[in-house]
Amino acid sequence: MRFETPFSDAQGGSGGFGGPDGKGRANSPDCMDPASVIPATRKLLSAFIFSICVSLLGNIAAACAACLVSLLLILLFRLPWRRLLKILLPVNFFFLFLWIMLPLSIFAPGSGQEPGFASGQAVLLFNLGPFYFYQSGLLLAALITLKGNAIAAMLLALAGTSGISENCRALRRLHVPEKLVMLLLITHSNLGLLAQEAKVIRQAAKLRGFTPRTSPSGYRTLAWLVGLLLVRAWQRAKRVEEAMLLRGFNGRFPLLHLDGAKDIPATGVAGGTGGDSFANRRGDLLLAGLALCSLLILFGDLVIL
Amino acid sequence: MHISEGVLSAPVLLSGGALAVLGLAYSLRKMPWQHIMSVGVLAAGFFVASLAHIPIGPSSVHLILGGLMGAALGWAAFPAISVAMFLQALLLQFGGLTSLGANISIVGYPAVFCGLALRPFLASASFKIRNLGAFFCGFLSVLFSAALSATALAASGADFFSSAWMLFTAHVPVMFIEGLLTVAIVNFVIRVTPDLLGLAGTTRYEV
Repeated sequence: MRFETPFSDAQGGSGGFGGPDGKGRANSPDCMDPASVIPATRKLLSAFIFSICVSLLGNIAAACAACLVSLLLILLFRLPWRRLLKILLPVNFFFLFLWIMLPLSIFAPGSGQEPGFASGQAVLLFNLGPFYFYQSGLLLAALITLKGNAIAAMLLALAGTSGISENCRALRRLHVPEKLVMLLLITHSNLGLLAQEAKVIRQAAKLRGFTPRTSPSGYRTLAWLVGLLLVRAWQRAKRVEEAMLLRGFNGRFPLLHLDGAKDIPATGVAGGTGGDSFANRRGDLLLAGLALCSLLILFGDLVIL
Repeated sequence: MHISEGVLSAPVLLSGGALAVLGLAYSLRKMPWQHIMSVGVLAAGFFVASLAHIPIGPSSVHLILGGLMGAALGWAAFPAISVAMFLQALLLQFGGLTSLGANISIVGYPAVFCGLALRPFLASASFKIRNLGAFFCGFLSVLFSAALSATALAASGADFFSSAWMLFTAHVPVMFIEGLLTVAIVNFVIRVTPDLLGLAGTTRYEV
């Protein structure tokens, strides 16, 4: 059994590229890093608008333009290429499956049921026995791959460059329910700990000579290891819950109202927009630029179609 | 089980998102603030546990554990799954922001319904009934999720029919493995901490 998690190496830190509160590159003295200067709220909102526009595209040229915009932003933010490719690689496994499945059809050309028959443009590429490969499926797979990679790269460049606490605060400002954001924060902060726990469990099993196999006893032992992890999580959950109840946690961390101090909301956001005006202006520029790009691409897509 | 960004059509994305928002609104209202800590920690536990690789011959699959999550957390499993999905979209790029709603609905609803429907069987004192309940808890949650994702794919265009069918077929072995492992996990958990499944006092400690 391998518990392969991206969290074991970045305990409690942010995923992606590590933001200002992670241990990523933003700890460098270069404070004018364009990625960290822009507020997370705007980055998240921009990523969302871009995602929606790009996922609606139906034309390969427009999808290429979207990819170009993502690429430009990655260059602008100076993200490490190696990390980026490592994260994007598993995303493309699903697309690989589509590259094989979409052009494939069991209907011969001229049978009236081949893909693209209605539009009269069924172009057969080649056939392997009873399986026929059509061009239209290949084009669709290419379109989906371009769109998916453009969106994933954009999300990495925008959401991956701010830490999880920043992203949570941004979500709060975007009026995501406080309970959900709190849950996100707690889950994320416990991931590293439980990944560590899983590592210990796995090591203990290995020390006792366990190697995962496809057999009844192998599966039973694996299930016990997973069960043990769940039991540990449960014990931790109970301890934390009791400790929080003891401190009067009720969605807020209560303080004694001695000098007019207010209770601290769980997600640490009391309202207001935060960030200095310079950063805000840059964030606005990014948001406006990206929205314009997305709309232009979408418009171009509609016109070409 | 994740459907990547850029595949689904706009109506499917919209209805998936709307269903996810509905489920979230209901389950968040139902979940008291006091439980949020344990739900969060358990969600992290299930997340890490689902990353374990289970070997089948030379290849391997990973568990989803949706049914078990539904049995342990009830409706609270819905926000827990949503948060796990969001983290996966953010950190691992599995799924994405626009397909997030559809993915949450695909995994969340089967998990909650299987968990809630089969929980009485898990609480049964009879060894046999409990094992059957646990098996179907795992099996059915994956079956329904696979069926939902295949439906979402097929509804996005006629070009995706064969892919949808293939996606469903590929999940058939996963259903059996998930079912069998859920039985073993439930038996282990009930012996060690019956409270985890909300079943305190129902065990007879069979061997």
